[in-house]
Amino acid sequence: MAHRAASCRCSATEMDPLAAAIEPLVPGLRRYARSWLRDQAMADDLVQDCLERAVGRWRQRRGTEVRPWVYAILHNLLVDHKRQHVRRGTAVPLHLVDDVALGRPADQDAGLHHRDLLRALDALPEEQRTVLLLISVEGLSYGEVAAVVGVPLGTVMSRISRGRDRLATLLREGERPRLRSIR
Amino acid sequence: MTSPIGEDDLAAWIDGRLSPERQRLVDAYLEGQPDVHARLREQAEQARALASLFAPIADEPIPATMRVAAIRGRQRQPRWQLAIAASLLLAVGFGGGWSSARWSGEPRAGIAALANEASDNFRVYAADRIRPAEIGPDQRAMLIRWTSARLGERVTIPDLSTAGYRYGGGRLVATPHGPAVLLLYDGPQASKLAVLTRPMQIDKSASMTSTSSGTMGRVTWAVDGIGYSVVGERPAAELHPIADEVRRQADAGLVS
Repeated sequence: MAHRAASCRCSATEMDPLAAAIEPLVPGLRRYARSWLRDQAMADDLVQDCLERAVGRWRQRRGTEVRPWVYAILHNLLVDHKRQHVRRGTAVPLHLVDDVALGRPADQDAGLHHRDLLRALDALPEEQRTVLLLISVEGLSYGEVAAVVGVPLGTVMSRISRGRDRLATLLREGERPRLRSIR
Repeated sequence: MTSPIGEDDLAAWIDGRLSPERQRLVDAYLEGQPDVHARLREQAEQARALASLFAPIADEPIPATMRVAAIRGRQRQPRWQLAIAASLLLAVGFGGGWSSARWSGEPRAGIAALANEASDNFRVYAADRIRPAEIGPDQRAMLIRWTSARLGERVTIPDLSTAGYRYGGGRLVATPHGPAVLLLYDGPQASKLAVLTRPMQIDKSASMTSTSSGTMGRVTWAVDGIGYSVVGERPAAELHPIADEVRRQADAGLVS
């Protein structure tokens, strides 16, 4: 099998416009995929798929902002993936993720306990979790989130408020959320 | 008149995204609402915790395959070979009375064409409830004899049971490039998978390429003049490990 090696891009000044627009987003895209999926390889596969599509469809973008456009491609792949896995019964709740999978040492204990945070996040409805991750973790603007998820701005604002209230309640009560029926 | 404080203001307060004047207004409001203020501070703390929880992932070096140059290289390759295919077809066309107007944007050669043949056949046969396969799973030897004779290549039937897919039979199908073998597999929850194989004129050797057609994912490649396309109702990324297994068995020359 002949695999073509990636050509060396040795300095940022040689970067072509497409690479300059897309590559800075890659670390965030990987993080967003990993916040949805426990499996790093699977998350990276979806990011790869997203990037192939973004590069292939670059000319069809027609003036849309790059960041929400690329995040929307990934978001849709994640939603599809989750739907298929829930149907096949292989989805694993986020809080069962190894700390290792999140790229941090297991015994780090900064303020909130990570496992509690993941468990609470996992117990949120998907639509609330999505806006929470896109805003608080990915740092997207409210307008960008509306574009990624495909809902009006007002809906984003109410989802973020409800999501934060719910997250706070879950964390405060130390409630052990019931595992949603995954299978 | 200023517009009243809204939940959108409070959300933006948490995220530090208020304009300076709006910030002053909300700060003043929170002075008189200690309960709300405490709730927002708590939620701001949780938002920061969430960000720091996932932050390390973005510090990891990105895989080389995610470089735009690498992606372009892979995407350009089939197109370049397609151009050769097109010129060949046109050459044939001028000699044989073909009209170049018949040339459409659809790939007609190489693994891009093979991928389309795979999904076209998958669409027709995997959905068939009466007779998806011409030759059933209990007559492997007969299928191998028959299709190997027609293709002029030794056909193998990959065993995908480790991936959860059971061989459900196969058939000879027609493609614009001559006969091909379609092998059908049944997976969990009535899911279907198919492998299409035929000899390749163009793209005698091509690395694995993931594409999709509607909801179907396809992973397509060629080794030593034989093309393979794994197709199913799943994203191509999920088909990749199965395709790896097919390739492994084909490379090893395993015959079941």
